[in-house]
Amino acid sequence: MNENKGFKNTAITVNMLWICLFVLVPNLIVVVISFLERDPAGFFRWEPTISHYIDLFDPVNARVFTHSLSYSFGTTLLTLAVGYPFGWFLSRVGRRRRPLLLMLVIVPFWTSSLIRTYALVILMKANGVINSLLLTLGLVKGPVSILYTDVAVYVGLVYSLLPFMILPLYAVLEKLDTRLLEAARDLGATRVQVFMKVVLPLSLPGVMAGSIMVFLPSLGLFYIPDLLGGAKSMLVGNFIKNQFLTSGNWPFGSAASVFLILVMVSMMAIYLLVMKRFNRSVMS
Amino acid sequence: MPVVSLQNVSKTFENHVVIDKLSLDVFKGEFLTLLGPSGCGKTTVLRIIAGLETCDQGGIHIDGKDHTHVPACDRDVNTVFQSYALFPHMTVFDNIAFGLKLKKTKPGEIKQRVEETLALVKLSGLGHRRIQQLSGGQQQRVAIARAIVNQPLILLLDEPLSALDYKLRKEMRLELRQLHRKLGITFVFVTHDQEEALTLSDRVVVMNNGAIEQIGPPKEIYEEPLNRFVAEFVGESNLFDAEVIKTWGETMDIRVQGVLKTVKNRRGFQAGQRVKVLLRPEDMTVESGKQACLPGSFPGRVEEMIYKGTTVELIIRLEDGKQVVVLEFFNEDAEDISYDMGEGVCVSWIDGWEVVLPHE
Repeated sequence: MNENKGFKNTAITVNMLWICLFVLVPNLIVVVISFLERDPAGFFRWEPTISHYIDLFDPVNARVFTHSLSYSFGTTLLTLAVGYPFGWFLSRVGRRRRPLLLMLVIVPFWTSSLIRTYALVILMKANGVINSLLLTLGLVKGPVSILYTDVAVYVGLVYSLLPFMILPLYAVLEKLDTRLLEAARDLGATRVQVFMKVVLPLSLPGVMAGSIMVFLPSLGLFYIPDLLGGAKSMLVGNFIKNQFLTSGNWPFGSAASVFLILVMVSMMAIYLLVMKRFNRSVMS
Repeated sequence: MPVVSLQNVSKTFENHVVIDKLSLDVFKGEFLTLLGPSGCGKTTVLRIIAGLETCDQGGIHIDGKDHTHVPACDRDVNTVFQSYALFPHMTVFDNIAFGLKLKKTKPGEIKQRVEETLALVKLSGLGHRRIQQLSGGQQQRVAIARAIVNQPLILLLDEPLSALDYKLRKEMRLELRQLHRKLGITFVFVTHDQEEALTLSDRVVVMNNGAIEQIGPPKEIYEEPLNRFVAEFVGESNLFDAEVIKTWGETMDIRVQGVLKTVKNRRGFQAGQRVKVLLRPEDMTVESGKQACLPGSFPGRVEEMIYKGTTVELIIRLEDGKQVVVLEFFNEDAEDISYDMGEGVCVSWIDGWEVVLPHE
């Protein structure tokens, strides 16, 4: 018993140390730097300022944020539109075929997302697989430009984040009591009405969870717009990356990071608040 | 004209025949019970009437119109589900108003009808409650209210009382009967509980293996079972092998347990035919066996005496090893019924209370 306790304490301590050292401390450094002056020679000077936060609301910079948010919003809606029917199908398909389909959702995780994004480049570039196919079939006269457009960025984001939408939706829909659907049918609801009045409200936790899990990472996935969108589509992630690696403006990049974290935290808070209310109404 | 008419309905699930060429008429305003062991297809019949299941063969008419291909949402039929299937994300009021809202009833009328129905199922004032805040019995009432508020032509009830405890179940039984009388709606009730079936119904349909064994009023089902299955499924029974010796008119002599008995011959049995004699435990009598048994009664020994409050159940082993169950009532003639274990007794039955069934 004592030995067990010792193991437990050690495990927790090691983990806590790890998290403090490699998550908490770096983040604190970022927060501290965001309040310091920029120094072209040595990245930052020990001189407090809040000018970087004010600069964030400069129209040029603010546009990056709004642009990025709208990208993430669009991505979330698209993954929801694709993921919901798939999650529903997954939850209704026979128990024997289900593991295989779930595998198909999970298998892409076995390869680095960066490599998969390069694969998308090969598919979508001017002389890539899709264009070759279209040309061979004679459907188009010349190559269609897909890569380095908004479409390519959306394809990349939706493709990368789809599993994060499907899995929470599946988890909720799988637990949905089919007898409730029958009861609604019995009371005169058409299929559409059953969906709108019973299925959708009861799957809202999954919709919320999936949306958060897609929306938040999509704000920070800088390499997908980089590789698929070219320089045109700048997202918050790219913006921050550029401040650190290209402009060498660490304090401003830090301020943008902190701001992004604040946006994410407030969204999580809203999510938890909504879920708490929902659970109180459904579970209690 | 029957309000529901099933004609030669068959249903197969994964090569397993659940319903086999079943025909059934339900009449307007009656309380019909489908009774049978689990897996006999009674719930499937209910689901076919509701439109939640299609039939592979045959058809269904509701109110004289062909409903074979009419979806559940377009049938004037509502169901009380076994698990209640109440919507967890709605209040009691919204659950009950669900069907009315779909029919685009005016809000004022919805409110009035929901309140009336709540009063009818004795839940007045609980409309704002969440489903999770209700007890099992209250959820049951909401499920009933949600169905009857739509004033359907037929109300289907799928083992609605099975989740309740014994006392509540008896209470709900009485209320269901009163509700049926008040509403005048046709009730089709599914149960595996024979007591429920006998106490509630105008007519009982006994089902087995996807087919109907017997249809009739409860008294007839209990007292005049058509075959061994019905006899044994509904109520307790003692079955004796017997042989017809001689018949004349409505009467015949049979040999049962080596004893010659004169009984009624209602089904045209012939001399020499093998038959089964059915006797309910309460139809049998026991005499102390201190003297030799009278001709026509069977000697045996008391093996077990089970006190049941108003009755005593005796398990008696006859001389040839056959076990019979006899129910004795306490009354002014028998204020104290007491037998010793192993005591010799004579078992007989009240003449004319036997049912003679074909040998199967």
